[in-house]
Amino acid sequence: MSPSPALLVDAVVKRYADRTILDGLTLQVDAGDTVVLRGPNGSGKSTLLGCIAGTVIPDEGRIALAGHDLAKEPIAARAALRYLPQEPEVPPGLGGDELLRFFADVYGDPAGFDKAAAFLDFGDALPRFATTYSVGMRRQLMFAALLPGDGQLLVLDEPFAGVDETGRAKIRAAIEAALARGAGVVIAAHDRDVVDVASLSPRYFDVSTGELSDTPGK
Amino acid sequence: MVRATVMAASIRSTLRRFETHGWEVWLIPVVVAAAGAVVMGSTGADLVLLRGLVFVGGPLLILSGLHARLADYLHAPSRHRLLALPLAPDDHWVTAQRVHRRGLAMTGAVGALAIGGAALGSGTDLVPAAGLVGDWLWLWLMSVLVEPLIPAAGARLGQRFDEERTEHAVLERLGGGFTIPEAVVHLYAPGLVVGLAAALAMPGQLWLDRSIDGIASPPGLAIGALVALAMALGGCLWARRGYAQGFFGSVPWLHEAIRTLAGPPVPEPVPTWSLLGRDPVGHLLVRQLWRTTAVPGLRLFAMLGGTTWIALAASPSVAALATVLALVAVWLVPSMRIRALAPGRARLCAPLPLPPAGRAGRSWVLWAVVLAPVAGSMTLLTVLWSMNA
Repeated sequence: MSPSPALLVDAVVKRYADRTILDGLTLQVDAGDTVVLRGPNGSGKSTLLGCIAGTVIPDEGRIALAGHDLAKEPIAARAALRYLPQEPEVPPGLGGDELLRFFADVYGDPAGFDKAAAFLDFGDALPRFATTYSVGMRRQLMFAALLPGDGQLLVLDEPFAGVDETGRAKIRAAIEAALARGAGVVIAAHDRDVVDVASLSPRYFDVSTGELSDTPGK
Repeated sequence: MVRATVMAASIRSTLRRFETHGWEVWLIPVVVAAAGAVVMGSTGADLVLLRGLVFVGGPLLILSGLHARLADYLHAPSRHRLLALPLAPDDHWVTAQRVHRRGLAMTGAVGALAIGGAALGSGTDLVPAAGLVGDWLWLWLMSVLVEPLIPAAGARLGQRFDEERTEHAVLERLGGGFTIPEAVVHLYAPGLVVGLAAALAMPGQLWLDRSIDGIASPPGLAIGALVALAMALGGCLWARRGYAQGFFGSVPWLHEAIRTLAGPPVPEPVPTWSLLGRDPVGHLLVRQLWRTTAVPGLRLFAMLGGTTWIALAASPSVAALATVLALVAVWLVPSMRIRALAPGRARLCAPLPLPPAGRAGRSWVLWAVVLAPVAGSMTLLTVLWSMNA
């Protein structure tokens, strides 16, 4: 297990034009910890997740994933990261299995394809064009794509959105397995997802105030 | 080792499928080359004039498809979307290079065909015509070598620099407040690099033209051509490294600039004259046209002003007509992008209480707004030219 925290967000500031979205946020997620990001719409949850995923560069502050500075060691940091964006897009012309293989290769674990395919259990539907999947199936597909390799930080933006109860249970189980092997988990969730994340014994981080607590609050 | 190579190849072949490419890569160079050929064909066999046209028109042809060729390196949505993955910048580079090379090959071929065809068609002898094609191909070769510097410079200088660094001060001043300093390089690099290619091509072109004219060239000219070639090669070899150094630090800024246009995400107002009638789908289409077209007002002004000036000041000729067509294309071509947005629009409109065309996301308002200025210009041109005749 890595002695470094799975995620370190240190005094991060992000502005768009003259609007400050993140104002000096600091957050640490240790191995085996779950942190749920809370805050109303527009409070900066997705911006913070973008900063952690490297798709948004903060104006100030530093982010490290599994001890790797995101700015200085971009590939090593990303190798530790498994990021599920809020609206994962599946490219046209690719079957579900092809997409899983792609992610397994990118994460350096081609054999992890089998694990991801077993998680999905889509049967004959797996080789179909991923663009023909329902919203919930796409979400599960993109979640399954994060399973290969030993990701040390799962960053999930509303992972349960549009997923049926069976799929939600599978996702919860996969997150619990990742926590058990020492990964850190960051989840952006809305009120309706609180029941799903409660079983993960998370701490709650209010993006608006930068405060951590053991209760979801309002 | 073999397994790693196979895996890298598999990753890259899938990466290519994250982006789809439209007509821009080939259509724009073909239109520009065809317009250039029309102009060249109308000059007679005046070799000096033809060489001047190749000298000026060559960089224009290179410039015409530049953005479409290079967009995959940094601008493409998939570069940003895939940023969270531990993919080496080299994988992104190789993926983008395919489209770039295809576009360059297409541009080189249509340029050679247009120049050779126009020169021979205007009655130029075979050897001088071959020389004109040679001039073009030498410029094209320089472009092939130096164009990778555009994404490389974009990545290298598109990062955030500390405020005390010279790069920050220079980029901020060049931006003039129009965009964030990190996006400024993307405004200047294309023009500067095409200019560099033209400058590097000059000694070789001069040497070639003098040789065809039977004039001995000073040794400095040949040496200059070789030095220019070596410089272009050096740039080409550095580009991949420069891109890799800046990739992760520049792509998020570029996409932030694209998304916000360097200001709060509040769109510019659409001119009220273009919001004809009360058709909500029509208004939606016009807004899409206005917001997805770069400098729409300037394009419209160029088309209206240019064609009016030609109608008033120039007499009917192939060259004048070709210029009018090019000006009209400057205004019309972006509206083709609205067609590409049709599926999303149809999904949005299908369940709405609209007539069938509206539910399909179509409206006559768009075409009225797009075509009315063109029709007005053409009418003016026809009337004035027929009066002069």
